[in-house]
Amino acid sequence: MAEDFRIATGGRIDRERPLRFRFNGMQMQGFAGDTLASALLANGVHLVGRSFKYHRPRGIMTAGAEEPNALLQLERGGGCSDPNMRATVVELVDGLDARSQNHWPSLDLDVGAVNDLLSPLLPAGFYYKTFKWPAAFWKGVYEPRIRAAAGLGTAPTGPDPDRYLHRHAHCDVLVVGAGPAGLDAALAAGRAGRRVILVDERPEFGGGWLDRQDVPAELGGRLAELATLEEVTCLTRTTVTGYYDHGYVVALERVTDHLAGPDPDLPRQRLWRIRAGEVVLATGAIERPIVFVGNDRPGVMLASAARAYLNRYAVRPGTRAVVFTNNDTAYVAALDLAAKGVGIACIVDARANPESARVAAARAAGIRVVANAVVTGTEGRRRITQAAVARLNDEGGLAGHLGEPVACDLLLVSGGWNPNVSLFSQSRGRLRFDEHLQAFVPGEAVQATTSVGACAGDFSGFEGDPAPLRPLWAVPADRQSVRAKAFVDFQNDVTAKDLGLALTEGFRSIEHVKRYTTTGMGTDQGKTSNVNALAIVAEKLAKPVTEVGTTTFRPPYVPLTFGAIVGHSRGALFDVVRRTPMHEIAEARGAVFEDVGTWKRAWYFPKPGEDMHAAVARETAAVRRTAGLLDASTLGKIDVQGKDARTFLNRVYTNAWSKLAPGMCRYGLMLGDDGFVMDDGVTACLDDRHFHMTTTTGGAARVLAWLEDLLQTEWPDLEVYLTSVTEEWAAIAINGPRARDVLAPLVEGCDLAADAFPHMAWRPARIAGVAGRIFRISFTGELAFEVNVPADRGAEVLEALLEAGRPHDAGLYGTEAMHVLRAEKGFIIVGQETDGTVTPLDLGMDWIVARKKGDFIGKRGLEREDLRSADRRQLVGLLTAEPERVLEEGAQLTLTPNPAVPARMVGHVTSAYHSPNLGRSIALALVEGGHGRHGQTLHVPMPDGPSIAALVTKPLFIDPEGSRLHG
Amino acid sequence: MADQSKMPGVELQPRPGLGKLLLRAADEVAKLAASTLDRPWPAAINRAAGEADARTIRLGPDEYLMLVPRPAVADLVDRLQPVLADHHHALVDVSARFAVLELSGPAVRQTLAAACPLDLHDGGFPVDAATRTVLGKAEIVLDRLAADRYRLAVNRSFAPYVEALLHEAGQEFGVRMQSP
Amino acid sequence: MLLIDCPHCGPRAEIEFRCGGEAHIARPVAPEGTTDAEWRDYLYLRRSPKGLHFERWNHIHGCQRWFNLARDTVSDEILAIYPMGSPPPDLGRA
Repeated sequence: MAEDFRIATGGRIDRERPLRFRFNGMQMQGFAGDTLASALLANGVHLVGRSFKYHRPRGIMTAGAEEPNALLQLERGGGCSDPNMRATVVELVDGLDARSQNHWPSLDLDVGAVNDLLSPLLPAGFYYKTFKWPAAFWKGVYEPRIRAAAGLGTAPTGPDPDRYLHRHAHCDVLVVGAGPAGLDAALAAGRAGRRVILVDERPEFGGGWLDRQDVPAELGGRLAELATLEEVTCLTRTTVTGYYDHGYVVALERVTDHLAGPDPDLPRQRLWRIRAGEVVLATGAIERPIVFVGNDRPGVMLASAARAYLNRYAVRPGTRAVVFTNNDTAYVAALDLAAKGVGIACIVDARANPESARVAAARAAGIRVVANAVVTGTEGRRRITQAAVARLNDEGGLAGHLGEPVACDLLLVSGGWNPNVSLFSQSRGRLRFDEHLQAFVPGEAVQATTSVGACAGDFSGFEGDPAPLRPLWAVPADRQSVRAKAFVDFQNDVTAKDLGLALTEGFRSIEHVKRYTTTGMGTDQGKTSNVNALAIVAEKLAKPVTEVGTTTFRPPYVPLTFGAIVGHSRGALFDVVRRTPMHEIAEARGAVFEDVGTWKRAWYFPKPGEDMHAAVARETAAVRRTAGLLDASTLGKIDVQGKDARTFLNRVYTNAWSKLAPGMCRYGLMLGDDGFVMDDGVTACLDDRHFHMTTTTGGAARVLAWLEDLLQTEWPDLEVYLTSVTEEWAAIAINGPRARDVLAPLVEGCDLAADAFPHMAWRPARIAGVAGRIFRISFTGELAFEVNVPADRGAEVLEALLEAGRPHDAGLYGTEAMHVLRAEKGFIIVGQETDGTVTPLDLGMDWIVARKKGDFIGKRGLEREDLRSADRRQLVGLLTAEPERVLEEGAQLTLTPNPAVPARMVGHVTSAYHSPNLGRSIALALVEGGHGRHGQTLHVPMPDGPSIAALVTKPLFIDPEGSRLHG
Repeated sequence: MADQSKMPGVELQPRPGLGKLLLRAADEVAKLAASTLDRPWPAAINRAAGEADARTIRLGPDEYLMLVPRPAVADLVDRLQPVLADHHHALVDVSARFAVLELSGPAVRQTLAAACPLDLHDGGFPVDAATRTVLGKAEIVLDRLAADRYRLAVNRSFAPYVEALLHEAGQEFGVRMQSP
Repeated sequence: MLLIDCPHCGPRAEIEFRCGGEAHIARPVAPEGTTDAEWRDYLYLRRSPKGLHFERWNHIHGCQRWFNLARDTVSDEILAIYPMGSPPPDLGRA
């Protein structure tokens, strides 16, 4: 029935721009300016979905963000779709493809509707009581089926093709809502020259004025003036989703969702992250439904929503309406509808003697007004067909039906108005219950927040008065039938009976009732149900509403896409990827990279036909046979300067630094004050007041921050300055018996001979013509030099070294080979052999703890009895009984083979490799009392076979005298 | 970019030719450096002074970042070292550590605002304002050289991320990358 | 996201800062004279009050200076900002 319900003139739609869309595959037409809901209603469609639990037919209930029923799936092609979209706020776009949700096989004929018949078995919290037997059925039978049945829409299967961005913004005043109250607030602030951001969730400013039959002329003038104010930023289609602390407010701008062929350079949505000096909330009010049996049928709608469809979208939502209200405002809707050709069968007013200009106008227009009456039930399966009306007695109970049920295809409901206090509540402002309005209004604000207009309880701008009203939260039920359902929360299918059940079961706090029944927990966040639920519970407990509690509003106000939250941080921009200056060279040589923190480090360099094992074996053997080159640029480097530099080093390292001469380096171990190993590295003395400290790759930033902390907060009297130079220097390590042969030809200004350049010395030099430093330090136990040149010269120097290395068969090796080589020598890696609970003594590194030195960080920690006990986990080497077997890092160790579970674990493997230089596997491990277990055999239980036997040894497998260091 | 006719809202220009020095010095010592160099010197924290090629930024109570053409770094060090030698200070060449990128154009602030929490409005961040801050997951030094021209310094390994981020953030305004 | 008024830089977003936990926990001047229990308390024992909390913050992505801050842990209101090394101000409340 195309466009039977469209009014020929008026409204804010653009009849020059017809749009085509599909609903459940049926082609329909609407206009630019329609929402999906108004377009559906214009096409006579009321049944738009099936409810969550009972699969009851549901229709469009509201005209705004508070919609609980009309949740549709928007298909966007290519596996992309948006589930659970409120049709009342989706702007109609040419080609829109909308589907209803939660039914099978179809919306009209839904097998799930059997749940409605089974409802006695499915009360609130049913899953705590049913589906428990037999126990084994839960995992295999019940849970998968419940899981499949849960939810409403379907998740998209394709990746999100759209782009999203954030925008940080700052203002003196943020005004939320551009209805009359918000416009006035923005103008006042803007005229005073303040920086203002004015946001509204709709495509145009005007708020409730746009729902009127005649939009006030002042609107145009207000908008024109706003446009002239330079410091006022106006955002339409922007919903504030969260009001956080210190005036930080997050808002979602829908940039292109309403455009059929948007500019591909635009983000689909933009998340505004606003810091406001003060916030003015002008978020209006939301009409309340009334809870009565059968209040959820398609065609039951909020009175103000019907009025909005009529005036804003030029749609008659029906042909014959019953209006059920407890206040005056519904009369405005009734009169507007009557004026545009919708028959009003009667107005059922719960108030005993309604008297006002509006009531008089209704009577004068020939509309029957039934006072002191309520709607007790409805009929109609896929659309309402009639409403039963009954009188109220003096006690507020039912006094008997008024004749036959009234035929209608539309039932408009108004139970009063709730100021929209979601954001006020999010800001941690306290709410107050206003007895006159029978609603919560903003009380004491905690931040610089002002509420204006209807959201503050000021309805002076309304047509019609929401108060005085007759409080009517739930109509007394006139049928004892167990299936009679009066809905409180439409989205989660929570009935008044469910609330009663929660109270019967002993729940008293509204927070518990809410969680037990799930009322208010849907994506609508209880916008049309929270207050009703609270009041019904209060009534049942015979307590005032304020004693039962207030409901807490949490962000987001409306659902957000993940894309909007993530913004640009996805794909290549998900995280920083750091590459060294020599990365391209490694890449060109076939490197496979591993992630070390955010760095990419060359892991191994497979030649054609080699797997990782083969490549690592070749690289490792080559280093000890001739030489190899390693990119060591990622290690942290800190420039330490000042007259107290030595004192400082003595305090942060475990060993002594007073006598380290300029030109020499020393390995340092850094502990936390708890005595546990934190980081390590070689530090060089440049001169008496100047040192070059190095750290692990992963520890660089953390160590610098820690040292700065000590200098600023613990020892501000020390004259020491720290500067990060990690990225100033590229570092290339040359390790192996031919290291000197490779390097020397490229070096000017420095003699590399053993007597001139002892181990652990450093010298300034030119390498391949580039001024830098050479350190004679070794992480492999071989003769080694580390070259440091400015980072922008690193690549050219590496190329020169690789050229120089070719005759010696010295090429690049990666981090895996580096790990094997250092493990062969028993050198620890912080974070591998240590985990924050390991001391130097555990590692067998007593030699590095200077007992005679003054206090240092960790010294007192080491004195703790616990840290000195003999059965602590201590570093050992492991040689598997089967030499080919490589243990798994992290594998646990036991005293006996194949122990019964639970087994006593005495340690774990920290590093394990195949060592080509030894022709067998090696491993390092931390074992209870390890220092005293050399020669014992321990066992590694495996999940897929018998346990592996391993001999405990010293953690040192090659060259125990250390003679290879000297080439 | 889909629309070639779009005027670039943001132009990015790497500046690899700049040298940088980090000076740590308390007020009195910093004054010695300033007077030795005889160039504009920032008095307040988070302010810059000097021409684009002779720029000094005060990043903290005792921290200054100096930017000069790379060949001029050695000369600067030679002039400062004798003056500062007997005073507590640190003067560290960080020319290779930092990558510098200049941004200009009518949409430069909106582009930065996609990932930078600073208030870049004239009142909060006027010309010659400069500070360390964050841009997405990168730490940067941001320096406002002129009304619509900013300079950004970042650790070199973060430069590719920063450039990609600025391209993404500026795409709707049109981004043009100039060669250095 | 808190807005923190750095003593050197003025108001900046929380994301530029790092919180260093409870303030005014002095490292014992003579650690060798402390008992294991005292050392343990220095390392690990921290207040977790509902209300006024004195904290140490670092403007890591700004001036990189440490300072102290008094915050109400319930409302997140920042009650005072004062230099590192200064004693906590008397705010007249628990």
